[in-house]
Amino acid sequence: MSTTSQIWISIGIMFIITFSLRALPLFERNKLLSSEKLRTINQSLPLCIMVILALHSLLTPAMTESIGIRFIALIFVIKSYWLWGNTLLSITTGIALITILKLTT
Amino acid sequence: MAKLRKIFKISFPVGIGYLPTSLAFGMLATQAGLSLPVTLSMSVFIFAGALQFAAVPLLMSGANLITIAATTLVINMRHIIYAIPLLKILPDNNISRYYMIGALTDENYSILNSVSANDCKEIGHWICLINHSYWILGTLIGASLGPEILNFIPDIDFALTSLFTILAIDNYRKNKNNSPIAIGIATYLAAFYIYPAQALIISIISSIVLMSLLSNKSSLEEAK
Repeated sequence: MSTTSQIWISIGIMFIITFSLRALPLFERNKLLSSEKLRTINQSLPLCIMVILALHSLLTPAMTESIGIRFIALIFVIKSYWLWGNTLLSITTGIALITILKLTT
Repeated sequence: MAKLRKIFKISFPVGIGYLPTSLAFGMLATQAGLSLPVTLSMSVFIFAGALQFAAVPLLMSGANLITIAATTLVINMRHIIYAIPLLKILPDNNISRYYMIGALTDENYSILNSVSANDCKEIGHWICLINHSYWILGTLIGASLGPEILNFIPDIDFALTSLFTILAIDNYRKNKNNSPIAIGIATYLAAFYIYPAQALIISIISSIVLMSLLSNKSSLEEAK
């Protein structure tokens, strides 16, 4: 186990690297802004990244044992949010559906 | 008052996803043995869900600083592109601008790309701050409640999958473009099959390359 000071230094390192990665485009501003292609890509990128992150959190190795059930719940979340647009309803019923399906299978 | 209502309305979907996820983080971190101040500081200063979850076992096992730095770099590498579409619409005030950049999580990136340029410039930092507050509040509640509650809601982590999916739907409704979905699914599944441990970063880089090639092709067709 790390000592208390090691833990605080580690948190400091994680903060500095994360902030630097997020802030890097600020220091490359002109070069990046002049790229028309980059701006075109950026219009589609948020959707692409959200799809990748959803898949990544769905397929995390520790979760693969109940992948079928989680996939069914995900379909339900997509359908319910598409129809009603209610975030709270979709998330809570998605989690509840997994619990019910696990109990009944 | 109308402005405040608007900020809360925009940040609400993320808050609904953040609360259970950060609750789970708070529980897991304190269960692993991290103190409340350390757990809270991670949510205040790092504010990056995947990294925070990954950091718990590293901190508890006494991982060296190079491992910590390398893990941070690999997990958060994707954040390097998040500020690019926002560069022209960042707040004028320096504190607001740097705070907004520092708070560019996956979810804030998605939300800020779905609001108007004017809203992003005027209230973008407040949206990030409210979302950050949800994250800190969830961590505090989770760390205070303890891990026992996970026995009652074992699949609470599914909130994050649902949140990413909901943000994808919101993005899709804005542009109605199918190709980013197809590219995202194809690159992630290919990366997951070939090298599952680094599937996330590989698929993001592959997607950018693929989109770049496709935009080249469409530019050439337009030129003809």
